[in-house]
Amino acid sequence: MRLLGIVLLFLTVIQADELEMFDVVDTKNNESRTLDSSDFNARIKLSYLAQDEQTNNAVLFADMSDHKKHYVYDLRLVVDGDAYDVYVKDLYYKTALDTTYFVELGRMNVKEGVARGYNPTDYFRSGSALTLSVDPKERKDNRLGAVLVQGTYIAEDYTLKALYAPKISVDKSSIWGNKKHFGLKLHETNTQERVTLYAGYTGLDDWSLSALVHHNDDGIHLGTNISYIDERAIWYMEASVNKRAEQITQVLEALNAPSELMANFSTDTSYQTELSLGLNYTFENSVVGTFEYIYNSAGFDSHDWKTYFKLMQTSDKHAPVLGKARGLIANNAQQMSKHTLFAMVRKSDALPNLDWVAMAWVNPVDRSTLLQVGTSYDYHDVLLSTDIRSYIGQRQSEYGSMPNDFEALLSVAYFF
Amino acid sequence: MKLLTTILLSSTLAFSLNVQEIVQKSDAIRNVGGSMYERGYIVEYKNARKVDSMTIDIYAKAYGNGFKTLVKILSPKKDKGKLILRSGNKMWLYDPNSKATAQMSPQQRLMGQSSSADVMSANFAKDYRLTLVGVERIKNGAKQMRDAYKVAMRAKSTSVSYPIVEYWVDKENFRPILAKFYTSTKKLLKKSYYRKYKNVLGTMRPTQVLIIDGVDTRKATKLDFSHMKQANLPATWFKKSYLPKFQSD
Repeated sequence: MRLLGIVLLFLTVIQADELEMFDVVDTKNNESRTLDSSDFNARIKLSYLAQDEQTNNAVLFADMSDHKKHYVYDLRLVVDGDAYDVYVKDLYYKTALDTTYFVELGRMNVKEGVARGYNPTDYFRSGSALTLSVDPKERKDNRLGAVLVQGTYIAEDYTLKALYAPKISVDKSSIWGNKKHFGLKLHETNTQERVTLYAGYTGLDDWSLSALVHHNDDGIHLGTNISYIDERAIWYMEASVNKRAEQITQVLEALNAPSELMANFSTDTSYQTELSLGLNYTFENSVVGTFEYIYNSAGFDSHDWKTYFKLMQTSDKHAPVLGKARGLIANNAQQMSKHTLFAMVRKSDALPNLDWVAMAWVNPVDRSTLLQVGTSYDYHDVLLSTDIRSYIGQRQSEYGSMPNDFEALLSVAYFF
Repeated sequence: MKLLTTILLSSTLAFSLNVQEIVQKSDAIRNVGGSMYERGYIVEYKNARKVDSMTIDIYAKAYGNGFKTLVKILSPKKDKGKLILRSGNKMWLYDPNSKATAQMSPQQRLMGQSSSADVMSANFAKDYRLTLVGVERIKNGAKQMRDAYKVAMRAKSTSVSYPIVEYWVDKENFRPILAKFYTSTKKLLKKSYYRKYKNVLGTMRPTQVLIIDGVDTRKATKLDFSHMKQANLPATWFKKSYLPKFQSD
């Protein structure tokens, strides 16, 4: 019987006329095509994080956003145990002076950068993270905008932008600060005065180029984004240069760390470079791979890591400050080390309705790795996803020193 | 000898001009000139059973010899509001959730067997070197046997979506019938049947493309196009910098 089934299936496959086969399908295809073509989006997501060392945790997220002719909003509700908070990720007014000049005013997420893993020219990331994530896409989603005014001119082959974000001093307990349940957190997103000038050129067939000048408390940053497409490959380079101290020194200064702790790290100011160099490639089987090298001259080299771990082990006084400093660097979504490798491989519909993604952050010096493998399954308007994260490496290595060796995140989301 | 060379060169030139005209006429049937809007409904099938679907709005604007195309995803809800822009060889995806724009390859999958390039207006006559192989009798989308020009096409640049294409165009009316898309190593990726011809904006145009996987013929994707109309679309809509500002109302 089984053999007969196999034979029949074989005959069906070799004899079926392609056009006949899908004419049958035509009669089955009667679904309604009435659609909401607005830009309103809403979703609710329940996430459960299981960890091997720290407490397991369930969090409920609800997001609501819309994009109207003259305003944009994006709100998030986070319920974590008995605590709940409402965040205003974006809320801004926008207008077009004609078809080429645009002005936006309010809290706005500004994101720059052609790189996929780490964006050196994403100057507005500091102080904006709502939750920490290893997934670059999640990092961009989970953040607050800054209050700013932006003017844009879009011409045939180029774009010019000017942006100003003021420093805003607020009472931390007020609604403008970190008021319980609802605070705009301006003391985190607008801690310094910032100006960005941007020029982008897209007039070349295969190349895209942009240059940025950004000014903040660290002085002037010069940035560039370059990408080149060649059939299935997109090559890219993103870089930023500015004169400042080492990353750890800056963070320790911000934390008012004692001078005897500061003395363990270089306090020299010099030109620092951040660079992301990568390739995004679409394979014939629809697998999309990204491979990126990240250089941060202000980050830790192997000597700095040794000093860091030695102090963490031997000094009860300095260890909490160093822990905080590392947390602050992660919160600013900066790279801790001088050299990092990032790889991501994604396959959409690996099985029907099932996407698969694997990503790795690797410190090539101490060979520690953060590996995440995830799947997401969509059924109608429900998305079920799992992410398994493993921190691999010796205890005194970048990723091996993380509190957990293993984490698993299970999420279920419903889209309205 | 000189006379023979001249005759040969002249006939080759005339032949290649004919091929160019055939494909240009066929391009004019697939694409509407100027600016246009249409809605696309994409259904993915496996073993003739529906697996997934997607609805998109497509905005296209002719410029030079090519097109700039903007696609807005309306459904499924998890992808609602995503924008895909193709301008020349370059393509970008804007995600309204992360508010980030990423460059992508035109070969990147949209749904089922369809890549983003399949829903974008394309100018075969401009993008490919054309050779007329001959006339073949094949079955068209309405299952009628038709005499068709078979044209072999090789991409002029590496950034064109498909390096090698075989294309069958109805000899009588220049309607596209079938296209087979290959990798640079001549591996069959997929075949597209152009079907359901209807009078759209004064010309009989295909309103359905049936894409069948090159390896597993049980996998197929059907693209239905409707609501096609000419529209006055601002040039700014087709700029990468405009994607975060896009609002179609």
